[in-house]
Amino acid sequence: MSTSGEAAAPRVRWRTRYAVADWALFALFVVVSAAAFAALAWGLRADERLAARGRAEAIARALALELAQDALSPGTDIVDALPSLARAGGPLVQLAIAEQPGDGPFSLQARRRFLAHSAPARTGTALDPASSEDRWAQELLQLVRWRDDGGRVSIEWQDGRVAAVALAKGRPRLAALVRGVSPEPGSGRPWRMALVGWVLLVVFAAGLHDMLPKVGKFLNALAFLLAAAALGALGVALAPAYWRGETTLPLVAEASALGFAELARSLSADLPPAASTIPARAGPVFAVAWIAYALGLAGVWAHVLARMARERFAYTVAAPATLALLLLVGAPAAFALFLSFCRVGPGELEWIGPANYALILSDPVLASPTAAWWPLAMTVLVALAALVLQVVPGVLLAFALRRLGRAAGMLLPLFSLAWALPAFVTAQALASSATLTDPLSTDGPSWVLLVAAAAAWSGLPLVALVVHAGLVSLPIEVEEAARLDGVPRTARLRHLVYPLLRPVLARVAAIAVVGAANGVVLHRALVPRVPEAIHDTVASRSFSWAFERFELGDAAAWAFVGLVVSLVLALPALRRARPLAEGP
Amino acid sequence: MHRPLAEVLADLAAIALVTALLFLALVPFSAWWFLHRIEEPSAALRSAPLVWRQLANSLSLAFVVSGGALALAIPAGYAFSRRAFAGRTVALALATFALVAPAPLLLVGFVETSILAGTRGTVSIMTAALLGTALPSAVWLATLAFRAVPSDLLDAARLDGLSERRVLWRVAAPLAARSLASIGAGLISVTLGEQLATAALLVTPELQTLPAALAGLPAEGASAALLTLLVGVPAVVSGALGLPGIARLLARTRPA
Repeated sequence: MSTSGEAAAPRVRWRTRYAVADWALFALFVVVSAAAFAALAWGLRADERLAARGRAEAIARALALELAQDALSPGTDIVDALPSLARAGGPLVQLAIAEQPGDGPFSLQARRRFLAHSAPARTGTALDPASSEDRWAQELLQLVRWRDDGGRVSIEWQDGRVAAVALAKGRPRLAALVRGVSPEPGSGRPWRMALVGWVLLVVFAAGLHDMLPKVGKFLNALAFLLAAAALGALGVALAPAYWRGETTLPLVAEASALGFAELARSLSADLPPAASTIPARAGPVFAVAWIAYALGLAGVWAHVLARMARERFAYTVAAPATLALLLLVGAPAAFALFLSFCRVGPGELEWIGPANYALILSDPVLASPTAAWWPLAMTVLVALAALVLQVVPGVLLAFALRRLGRAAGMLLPLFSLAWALPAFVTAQALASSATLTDPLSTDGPSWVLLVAAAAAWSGLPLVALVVHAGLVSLPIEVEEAARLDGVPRTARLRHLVYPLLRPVLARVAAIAVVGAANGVVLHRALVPRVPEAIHDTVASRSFSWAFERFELGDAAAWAFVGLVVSLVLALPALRRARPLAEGP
Repeated sequence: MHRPLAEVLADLAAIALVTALLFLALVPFSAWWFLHRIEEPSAALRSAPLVWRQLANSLSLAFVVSGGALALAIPAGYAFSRRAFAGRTVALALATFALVAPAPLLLVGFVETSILAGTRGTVSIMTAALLGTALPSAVWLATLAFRAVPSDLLDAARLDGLSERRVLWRVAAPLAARSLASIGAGLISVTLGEQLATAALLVTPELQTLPAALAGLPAEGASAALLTLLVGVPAVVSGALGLPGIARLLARTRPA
């Protein structure tokens, strides 16, 4: 009976599991997550206030425009009517007239004249109670109070009464606008949602710290599913608004920017207010999605933090390179993905959705619709031709080098020369070497062979040396035993050497295909730049659109199409190659 | 003792194939191709007044970027190859993604970022872009290099009481030193020959590298041939030194 030992075991386990470092990390996580949720609630609250302010301004402008139209009888000169307009609406009338759409009641010329003369009128905001024509306007404006305080417009209104008055005056559009206003902001809902989210997060993190076993994984999956569903629903609901051009940034970016803008404004009152284009009804969905997403993300980080305590050394030494990869590879790639959905110009960055992809797949440069797929076909052709031209001679060369034995060791550096020659030097050499380029006309599809041969020429040494190294590393006793058993040479190659060499062949095949498909320098030096661009591969077209036509959005879209093509081409080979790291 | 005729013929075929491919590999590189176009080197140099500065730019950028990539990749490669931790697969997938992605993909992101940040044409953004190009290969190859180190030796060092940090720097890194040197030489070669990023990001002639400057010269000119030789020779030397070691790493598909 070892009761003392059995009693000691849980204590040791408890001490191990709830180590001080783990508790410290957990406490830090709780504090940081509380701050994050407070910021989220702040942002949501700010979003509500900004949306309310936007609605109030829209109502006030509509009211003011109605007033202005009422004050101006047909045929009245707009400048002559300035005093009346100033009395009727003051700054808001000026704003309404200046910002009304082109097809509004006032012509562009009239608006320009109005603006040119409107500065003195900004001081006149009082109504004339004796004027009979201002009577109903006065009635309306008593319900809408605005204050222009150093550029910050604050507006108060009583929507029910305004709508009633507007309807009574025969203004149905205005009444509909007023009726669409949601209840007064400031319900405190964002704070409650953030609090619930934070509590869930802490419970969730506790589960991941082995405090609530097995709950964490379930919640993690649930949170990610919920986030994906909510964000998907949000995207579907708001996509039409983006396509109509009502917003210029992706929703998440805009909402985040709004949150940070409000946070900055709370620290410095001098900053101007941010403008929101997010529809009011998106708020709750957006909040749910954010909280679910934060839950999932925090769950991952909690998991990582818990693991970091155990694998501290590995994280410490891998962190610099991983962060550099995220910064120098992940961030530019993500930004390029964003750009592929934008119209990019000097000082212009406008979200246009998948229009770039639609454009490049129906390329107006090429006449027929099928020709739009030409760069894709050319990329596949070049990659496959380079694969054949590199791997077949490369494998033969590797076998020949193995046969030569020690003598091959002296030749290996010489073969390296062609690989080590920079691509632009290869291109210079081949492009201006008449003996090599003359037999191949670049007018027809034979340029594919030219580019593939150039890629093969520089890539063949690598293939040969890798396969040679793979052959040399094969266990010689196995092949020798098969030979002594009388197995024919072809059977040994097929059933013994090939299965052992297959991962190496797959690896060099992937390198050859990706190198040829993504090659830009060789292609641009060897292939004539004709306006029809029928010689383009996807990578070369992406480069030329980016740095010759300076259409970065379209170029980014082409680059992502090229990435998909490369992955599709290299995937069979990558799957056959052994994983890079199989663990210790 | 006579060898079978088939064996002799196979040897002859191997020699013929190696000779033919060696000839093909060497002919376009051979110096005569460049030298016969550079009849007056001094005149060619005069027509490219910034050539020495651009060569210095190329060399310094290549050494800084390769050194930086290797310094980051060595500890990361050890961790990726020898330790199991959450996030390892994601980091390696990111490196693999960079190797599969077309060059313009990352370049577009870098160029637009540099325009928005006002850093286009600076050495810092150029260094960052080249580091982003070199680092994935370096991490990939360093992981393979440490996988080639026998596990028994590392376990023995641990049993002797060495900390994991000492196992890395005192045992694993020296055992993988030859492979790591090959990776460094290969990185220098590739970075010296990089033309797309340097042409797209470095806009002033004083800061340009030789490959970027060459992009604006006619291929038939004597200056182009001379400049090509100037940057091609160090690239070829370092590449020829590094490739055999890199090939051995790529051929290794099982941990030691």
